[in-house]
Amino acid sequence: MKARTSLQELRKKPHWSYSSINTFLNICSLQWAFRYVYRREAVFTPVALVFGSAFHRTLEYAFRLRMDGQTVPATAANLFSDVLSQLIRTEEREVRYSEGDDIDALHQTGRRMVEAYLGDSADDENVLDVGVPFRVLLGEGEEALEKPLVGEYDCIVQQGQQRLIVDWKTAARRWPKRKERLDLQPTCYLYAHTKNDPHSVGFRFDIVTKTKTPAVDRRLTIRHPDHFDRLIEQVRMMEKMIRAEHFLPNDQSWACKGCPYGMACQAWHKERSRSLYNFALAA
Amino acid sequence: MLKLNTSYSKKVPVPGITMSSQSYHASVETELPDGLTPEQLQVRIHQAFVLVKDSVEAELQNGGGAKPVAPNPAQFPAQPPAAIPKASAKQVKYLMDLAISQKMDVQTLNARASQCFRVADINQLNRKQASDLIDMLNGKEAHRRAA
Repeated sequence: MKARTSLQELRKKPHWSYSSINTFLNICSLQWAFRYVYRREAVFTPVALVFGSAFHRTLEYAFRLRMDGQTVPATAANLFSDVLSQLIRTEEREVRYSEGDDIDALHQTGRRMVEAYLGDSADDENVLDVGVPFRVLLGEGEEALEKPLVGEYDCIVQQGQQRLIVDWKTAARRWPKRKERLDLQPTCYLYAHTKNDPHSVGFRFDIVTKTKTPAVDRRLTIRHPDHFDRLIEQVRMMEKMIRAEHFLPNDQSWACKGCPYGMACQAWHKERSRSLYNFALAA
Repeated sequence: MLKLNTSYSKKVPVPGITMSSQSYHASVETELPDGLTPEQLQVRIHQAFVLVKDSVEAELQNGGGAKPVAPNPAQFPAQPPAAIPKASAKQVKYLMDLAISQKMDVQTLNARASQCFRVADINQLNRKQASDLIDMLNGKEAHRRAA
């Protein structure tokens, strides 16, 4: 059987990712530019990012066991702590904690979240695959954009007659109602799946809150071809904006507080960062 | 890559001229491999300092460098083979991801590292060992043996 190409490999060539598209469209185009065009060094890594990575890796371990019909050990939550410690230790940048966060509390919270989520899983759900990388062209034929869309499904499950892409999320609090309907991630992932696989598939966010008593919230959502056409047009327009260096700070964004390019952003209008522009990097 | 700058300067009066001085100065810039322990670093700094200091003194003794000074192997011994740098953060993270993708937890991975390389955990591996362990987990070792 041919080994599938890892996400790490797929990322080596120029590509679009959900995260990149979402940053540009919904968070801040200037933050996007600092990262992908101006190649500014992020001055810190928010602890939430490290926490989320540890949570993902722990679930990946547990769901790989489930996929092979093995029992997830009761000690799975310990893995969260081991992975979190290891990630903090190997993080090259300063790991920045939010106000009120402390490392012991984070370990406890994460372990509770893992226990809550693994204890909440549906019995009629079969794990089909875990950590599935994908790469698809955005658009068709000559109209397709040059850079493909690359990503990885956290997990694919079969629940009754329905096949679902499941994406694990951690959140400070419960998501607002209908957030899943507008989110760009299901659009990107379902588009990719539609192009690569004839099976019809749904998308589900499994959100676990970082609250004292973690809540597990499962949000099913679907997308239609019109959503996919809109996505492609958005990316096409983004590419034009990038070539024209149309990057603006989103000064009222919720993301400013944890933005690792805060200093560069403050100086942006003075430094004329446009002089750093490199078309080759952005291409 | 670490850079070490070492310099030594000395001022001496010029014979026969009052209130005069002549300055002798030498500096060396050298690159050091990553992953040196503080002790190894100290040895390298000491060696470099001895080299520049002795060079200045030799210049003074020999009248402005008229005679070339043969290097003294005792004072600047041959460099020991460069220490293999510690495993990079990328390697350690990759090892962990590889282990998890094979349903191996971090403690089992550490035990494997310990068994193969006599280290306490994956953070103690050097670059070569980390690379070998990655190959092992990828099954390359088995392929090599079979070949």
